[in-house]
Amino acid sequence: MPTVQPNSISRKLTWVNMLVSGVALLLACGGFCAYDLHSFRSALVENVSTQAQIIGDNTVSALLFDDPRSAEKTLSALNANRHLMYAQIYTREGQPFAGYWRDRAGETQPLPVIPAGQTQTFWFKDGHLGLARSIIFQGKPTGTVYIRSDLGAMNDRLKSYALIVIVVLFVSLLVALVVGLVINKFMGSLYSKLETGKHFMDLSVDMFCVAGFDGFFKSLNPSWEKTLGFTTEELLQKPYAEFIHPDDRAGTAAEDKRLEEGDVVLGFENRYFCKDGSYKWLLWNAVSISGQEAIYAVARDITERKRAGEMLQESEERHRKLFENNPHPTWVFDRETLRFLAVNVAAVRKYGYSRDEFLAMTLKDIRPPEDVPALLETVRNLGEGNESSGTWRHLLKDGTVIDTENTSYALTFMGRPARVVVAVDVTQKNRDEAEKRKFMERLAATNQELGLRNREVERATQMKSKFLASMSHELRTPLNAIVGFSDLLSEEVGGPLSVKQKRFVDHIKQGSIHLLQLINDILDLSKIEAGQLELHNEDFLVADALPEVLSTISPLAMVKNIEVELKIQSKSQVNADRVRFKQILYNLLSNAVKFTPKDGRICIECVDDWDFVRTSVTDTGIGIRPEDQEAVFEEFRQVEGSTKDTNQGTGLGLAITKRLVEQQGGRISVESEFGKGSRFTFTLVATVPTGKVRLPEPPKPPVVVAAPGLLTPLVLIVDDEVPARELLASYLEPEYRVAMAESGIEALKKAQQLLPDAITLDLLMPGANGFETLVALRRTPETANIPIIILSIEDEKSVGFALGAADYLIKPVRKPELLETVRKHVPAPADDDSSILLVDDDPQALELLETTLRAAGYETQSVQSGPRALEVLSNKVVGAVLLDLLMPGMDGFQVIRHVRGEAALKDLPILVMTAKTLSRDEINLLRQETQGLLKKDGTWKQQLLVEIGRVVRSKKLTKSAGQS
Amino acid sequence: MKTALPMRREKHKTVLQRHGGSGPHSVMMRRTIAAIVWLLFAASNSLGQQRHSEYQVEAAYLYNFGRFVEWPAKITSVKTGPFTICVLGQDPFGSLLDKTLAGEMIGNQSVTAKRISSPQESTDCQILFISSSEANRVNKIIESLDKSSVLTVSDIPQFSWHRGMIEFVSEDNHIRFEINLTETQRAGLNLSSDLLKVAAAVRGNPQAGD
Repeated sequence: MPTVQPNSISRKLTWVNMLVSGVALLLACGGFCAYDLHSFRSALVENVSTQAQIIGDNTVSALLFDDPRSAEKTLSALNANRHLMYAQIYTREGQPFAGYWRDRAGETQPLPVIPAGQTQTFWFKDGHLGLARSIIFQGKPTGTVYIRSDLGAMNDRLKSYALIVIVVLFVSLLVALVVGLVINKFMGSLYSKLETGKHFMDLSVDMFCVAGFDGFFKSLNPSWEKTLGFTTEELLQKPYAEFIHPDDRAGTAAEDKRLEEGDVVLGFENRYFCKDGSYKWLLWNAVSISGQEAIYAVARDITERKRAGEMLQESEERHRKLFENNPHPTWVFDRETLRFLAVNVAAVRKYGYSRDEFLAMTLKDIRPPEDVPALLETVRNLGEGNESSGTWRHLLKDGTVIDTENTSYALTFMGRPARVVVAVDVTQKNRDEAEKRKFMERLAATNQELGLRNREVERATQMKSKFLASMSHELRTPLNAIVGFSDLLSEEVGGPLSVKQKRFVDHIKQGSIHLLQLINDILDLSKIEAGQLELHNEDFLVADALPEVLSTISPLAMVKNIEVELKIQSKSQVNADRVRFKQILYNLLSNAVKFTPKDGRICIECVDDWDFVRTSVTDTGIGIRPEDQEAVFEEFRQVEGSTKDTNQGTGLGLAITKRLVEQQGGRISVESEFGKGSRFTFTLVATVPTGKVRLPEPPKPPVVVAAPGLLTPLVLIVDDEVPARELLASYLEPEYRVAMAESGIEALKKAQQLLPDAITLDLLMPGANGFETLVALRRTPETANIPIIILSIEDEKSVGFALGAADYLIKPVRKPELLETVRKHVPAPADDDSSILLVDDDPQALELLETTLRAAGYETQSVQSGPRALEVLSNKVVGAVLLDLLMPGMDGFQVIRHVRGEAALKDLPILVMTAKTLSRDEINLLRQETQGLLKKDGTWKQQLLVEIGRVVRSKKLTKSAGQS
Repeated sequence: MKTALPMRREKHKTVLQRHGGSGPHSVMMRRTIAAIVWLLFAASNSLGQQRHSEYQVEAAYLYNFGRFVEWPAKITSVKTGPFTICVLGQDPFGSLLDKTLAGEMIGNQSVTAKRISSPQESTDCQILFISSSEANRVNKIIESLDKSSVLTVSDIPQFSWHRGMIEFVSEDNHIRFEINLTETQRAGLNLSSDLLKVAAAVRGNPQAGD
């Protein structure tokens, strides 16, 4: 679009606009100023006149009484108005009386003349207003006042007017300019509208041209440049025929001719070159004006439309091929007549009919006759245009029936409603699926059967484990008695034995120990197999665990004069179950001792091997044949050819050992040379060293054996089997007093009565079992603090400890083990500080207390008054004081006060026993100062034992803590 | 005299302040000087040109007082005769007063002068000028006028201190006057504030005046 030239009219319009608004504004402003000046002058005169009158009125008395100072004072009030320059008062006679000057005293004006008949006169002169006014008092002229005011206020006003005028003028001229520009633009567009013809042509996407009969373009619109890429100049330079596709030139020339003859050309098409060498299809409408010898023509670029037509053809071809070459049989049928309208190659091939045969048939002809009604029904129900699919049976030309999956779509074929169908032969697929289904069913049945069998096997395994466990238990219980009593017999506890008897007893002992070992091994193995083995892993040094094993093995080795050598180089701790580790080592060592002849050697080596600690046991024994080396770790496998006298293992040791090692994440292996010796090596996981130096365990305090006769601690043995009870009693007897209970219920009763120092508890008892008894004991306040040691065949330590057992030993228990454990929990009684001082004025009460306490194993001393009690206390150490409150002379409270006053007796346990009803204060005092308060009522006896037990025990504990 | 001056001044000042006077501080001193000057003249008994013009001024002032004072309504309304300015005792004005008053009006009343010899004759008077000849009797005269509404004027020194209403004082050769507002108010006279404004001093309750 060409730029519109600013034309002179619009510019002039702008100027006129600005001029008119400027002049109008100036006139308006002038008028306003004039009017305002006039009204301002009037207001000024009025203002000054009023001032003059006020001055006059206020100076009358000053004039009459000749007091010019008063008058001057009045005049001085004029300084409130900064525009008043000068004021003067004259007397009646015309003499100046008083004056006021704004700035400084100046000259006095002569009396101005007021025209006769007027009271005032004024004039504007020399930039000021002068006003003279007569002073009239009570009708009589008394003097004259003259005021001169400058016109400063007016000037200020004029200045601000001028400023406003300038601003308004500027703004309005600006507005006028903007309006002018808008008009200018408007004029411009008006002007452009005047040249519509040209511009429509410029704007058209169609190509306009004027061509002369001489074969040249005369005028072209810009669309030409855009369409063909040539510039207008290039197009105008050459005859237009040169831009036409050679094939179309003749046709174009013919059309030109028609135009020259005055015809109109409509819808003529030809091709024009583009600058880039391609062609554009142009559609022409043209007319000639003979007077001008010119052709007026409009051309439209129809290249795209042409190309679209070509593409449509291509697309149709593509679709036709898709149909024809579709690998699945495909056809189009008429919805109404069901006649085939088109079929593809695949259909011809599959169904056996030629294309012509197909086109002469209907859909019904390729169906088994019995399916035709269903077909008709389906076709009737087909919606308009919907996709539909289904499974059908089709009849081939040769009479074969196949299964097909058909998909069909609606389409219009040659003007008729039709559907296109793709048929997929699924005959083989259906057959395969049926086969597969059958196979899967068979598989499922087999699986079920297997599952059932598996469950049976599992049950059998469980039964086996259970059988083994209960068998072991049942076997172990009597064995326990056999081992224990034969032990006692051989120690000649039951009386001296003859040499022969002793030998027999030793045989019994040996045999039963072996049997016990076998049973233990079976139990272990069955536990491992059943996955019931509990491991309690801890970190420890092999060197620390070794002595415990050696202490057992050394006597055996010494018997055969076998040297046991230690080579411990490992510095790492192993992470393993310490008990099981010892078991592994014991098994290997006892094997080694067993298979090493007299004067042989056994070497224990222990080295760090990366993340493992490797321990090996080497012997100089008989060795194992290479073919047997694999078998040594199997159950009940004893290697043949071992010497008779050494063959007495259970055959389970190595099997268990292997499983124990593997369960803890290690490996076990054997190297052996037959006849020279064997070397068993196992690894266990090493703990990541923390750099912490492991302190050696503190030495165990020496065992204190209590002197008999004094307060011997009481141990309550709870076991349902008499031999077991007797065995335990015989272990404990010399050192401890023993009470027995054969059931949980009896244990509870006896524990409450006797308050034993410890209880050994069997777990497997008829009636209340061990754990129930344990819980009941812990829950009963009197027995809650008694240490309970569980002795059981079953290894359920975690449960036992969780329920509050003090210790847990696994049967069969050996004497030293039991004694050590009991000693750990029952501190040896001290000899002299456990006697109890009884203080009561009633001798019968004293006797009763004495009997009760002595029966429970305490020593007592009785006194009948407070002073006596204090005397005893000052001479002797006692374990506790049992004090009556109501006594003649010194009463219980006084005794307490005295006792607590002594530094040495500050911690002496005092129990108060009274029938008195106590006040709140007394109770509070007793709570603070004593360790217990007993009422003398029906239940006192039981309570007394509990309380005494509590304070005496606690005292013992604090004492032993202090000693260690 | 010079050394004693501040003391006296101080004393006068307190007096003035107590009475709420609005005149300049030097008034008392000036008045004292004027009194001394006057006594000198009186002693020499020379009543020259100076005194003459003073009396002319006082005569005009007497008339002008009438223009700035309102008398109680009962008196003015009852009275139908001329506005009377009386002179008690020896008349110092001579013809000056008559000349001054000739043809003058106060309100719609003509103004006349009247000479009287005793206060009892003052019943018609609006203004009573007490001549200095009555100086010794001034207290008695004032007392006798207790119930009347006459404006008492005098040039007797200390007149306004002796319950007189207006006292002429001389100041820098100017005749000025002091007003005892207490007395004028007691007499029911209403003095214009314009009059109070030009007084040399005003004694008494300032609320009513000024």
